[in-house]
Amino acid sequence: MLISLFVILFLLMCLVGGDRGAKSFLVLCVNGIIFAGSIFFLNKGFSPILLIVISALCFCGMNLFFQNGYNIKTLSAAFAVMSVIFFNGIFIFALVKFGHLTGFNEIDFFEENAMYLSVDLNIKLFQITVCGMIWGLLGAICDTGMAIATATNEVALQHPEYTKNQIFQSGMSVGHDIMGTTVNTLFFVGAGEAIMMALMFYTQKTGWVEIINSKSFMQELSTIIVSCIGCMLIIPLTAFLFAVFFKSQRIHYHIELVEQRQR
Amino acid sequence: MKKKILFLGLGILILMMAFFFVRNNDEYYKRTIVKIIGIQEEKGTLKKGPNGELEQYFVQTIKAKVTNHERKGDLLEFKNEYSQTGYKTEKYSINDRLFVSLSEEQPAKEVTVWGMKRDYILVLLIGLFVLSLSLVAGSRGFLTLFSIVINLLVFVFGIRFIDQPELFSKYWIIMLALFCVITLVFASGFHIKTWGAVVASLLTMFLVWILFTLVTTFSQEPPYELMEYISGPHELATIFMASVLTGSLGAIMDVAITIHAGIGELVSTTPEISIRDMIQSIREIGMDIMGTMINVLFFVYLSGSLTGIFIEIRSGFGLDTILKFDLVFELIRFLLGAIGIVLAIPVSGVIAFVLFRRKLSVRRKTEC
Repeated sequence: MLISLFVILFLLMCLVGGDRGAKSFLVLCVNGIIFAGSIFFLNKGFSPILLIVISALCFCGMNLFFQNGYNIKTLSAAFAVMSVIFFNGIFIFALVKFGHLTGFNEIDFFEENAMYLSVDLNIKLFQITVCGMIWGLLGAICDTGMAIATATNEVALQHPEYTKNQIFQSGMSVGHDIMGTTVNTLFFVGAGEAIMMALMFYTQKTGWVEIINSKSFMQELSTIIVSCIGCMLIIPLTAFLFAVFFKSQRIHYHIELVEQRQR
Repeated sequence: MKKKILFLGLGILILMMAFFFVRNNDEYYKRTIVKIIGIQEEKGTLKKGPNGELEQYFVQTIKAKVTNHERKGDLLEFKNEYSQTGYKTEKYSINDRLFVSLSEEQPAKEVTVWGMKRDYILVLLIGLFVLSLSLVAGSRGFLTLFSIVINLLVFVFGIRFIDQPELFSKYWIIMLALFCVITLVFASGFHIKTWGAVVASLLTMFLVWILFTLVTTFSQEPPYELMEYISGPHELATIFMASVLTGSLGAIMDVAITIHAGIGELVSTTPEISIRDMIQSIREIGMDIMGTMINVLFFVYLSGSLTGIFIEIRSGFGLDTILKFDLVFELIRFLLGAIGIVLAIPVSGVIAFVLFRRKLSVRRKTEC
C-alpha cells in the first residue's frame, strides 16, 4: 500500500519533471534519511537542541545549496532560516512550557497501543516536543525564504542602481504575493487533521469549551500557527539579508573564491 | 511609518487586553477552576524501565485557590504525582489554572483534575498570528485573514454532518469546491485564471481520489480498524479520504494558481508563443514550486508524530510495527498530498492551455 503509493509518486515526479523531478525526489529521500537519522541519534541520547541545529544545517545544505547552488540567494535564505529557527525556537520553548503541551494528548490515550507503552523511559520529552515543532516549521520557512530570495534576485539584477532600501522594499512586495499561498497551504493541512480530531470529539460528545482547552487541539493549532508566524518572520529577514549581502563587496568576493575553488 | 507604529501599538494593546480578559474569565466557565498558588515537591520512588533506565517520580503537594462560583476563595490541597518522562502525567507549576471537580465537604478532600485551562494560549497564538500577518503584508494580509475566517466558518458548518457518513461525503465535495472558490477569489480576484485554477484543483483532487481508490482495491486497505479506538464505528474510509483531500487542497491550489498566473502572464507578453514552448514553461514553473511544496508537506506531517515514534522506539517497538501502527496514516496523507501536487502541474497546464488558447487565436487573427 505505502510502497505502491511511493512508486507512483516517484514515477509521476520523473514523468512530469524529468531530470529535475528525479532530483527533487532524491532530496525528498535524503530528507527522510535525515529525519530517520535524527530519531536514531535522539535514541542514542544526543541532546535534542544540538541535534536540531545539526539536522537543520543538513537540511538547509540539501534543500538550498544542493538544489540551487552556492550563491547570494541561497546564502541569504540559509541565514534567514537559521535566525527564524532561533527566534521561533525561543517562542516555541515558552509556548510548550507555559501551555504544558508536552506528552500525550487526549487522542493518543485512546489509541490502541498506548497501553502497551512503558511510562518509565527516562526521556527529556520537553526538549523533544520543542524539537518536533521546529521540524514542522523547517519546510515551510525554507520554501518561503528561497522564493523571496530568488524573486528579489531577479529584481536586483535588472536594476543594479537600486539602493539597499529599495532592494529590501522589492523583497517585501514579493513577500506580499507569496505569503497568502503559504498560509493557505498550512491552514488546509491543519483543517485536514482537524477533521479526524472533530470525529473524535464528536463521538466523545466533547463541548466547545473543552475542545478549546484541550491539549490535542492546542498542539495541532500551535504547530500550524508557529509555522505561519515563521513564514511571516522570514520575509523581512530574507529581504534584509539579501539587500545587505547583495551590496557587500566581501560576500561577492567570497562567493567568487568558492566558485574558483570548485572549478 | 508613523501610521505603522501607531497601528502596531494599537494591535499590541488590543492583544494585551484580550489576553488579560481571557486569563481572568473563570466566572464564565461552568466547571470549577482552581489557581495553583503554592507547590511543594518531593522525590518519590525510582522505577525501572524496559531497557534498565531509571525513572524518577516526583510528588507535588499543591495548594490551590478556587477562583469561580459559590466556593470562590476556598483553599484546598491535593497531591499530584509525575515522572520525569511524564507523557502520561503532568507536572504543574505555580499560576496554572486547572478545571477540577471537588467533593462536597469544606475544604474539599477529593480533587479530580479534568484538564488545564489553555484558552489564553489560543488568544495569544491567534493574536500574534494576526499581528505578524498585518505587519508584514498590510492590507493584503487582511484579505488572507478574511478568507481564512470565512473558510473556518464553512468548515465549522460542514463538520456537523460528520456523524452521518453518507451525507458527510456528499457535503464534503461541496465543501471542497467552496473552499477552492473562497480561497482563490480572495487570493487573485474575479479573473479568468481564478476559475481555471478552481477547475484544475477540483479535477486534481478527483484524480487523487480515483488513484487512492485504485490502490486500495488492488493492494490492501490502510488499517482503519486502528482508528476505531479513537472514533467508534464510523465509515472511516470516507472520513479519512475527506481529511486527506482537505489537507492537500491548499498545496494543490497553490500549484494551480501559480501555473495559471504564469501562463496568463506569458500569453499576454508573448502572444506568438508556440505550444512546445508553452509546455516547456509550464514544466519550468511547476518544477520550481514542486520540490519545495512537497518538502513543506513532509515536515508538517511527519514532525507531529516525532514524540510518538520516539516513545515507541524506546518502548522496544520494531520499525515495522511503528510504520504499521503509528506512521502509516501520516505517510498516506503525505504521499497523497505529494502526488496531488505533482498531478496538479499537468492538469492545470492543460486547463490553462484550453482557457488561454482562445485568447491566443483571437489575437493572432486580429494581427493578421
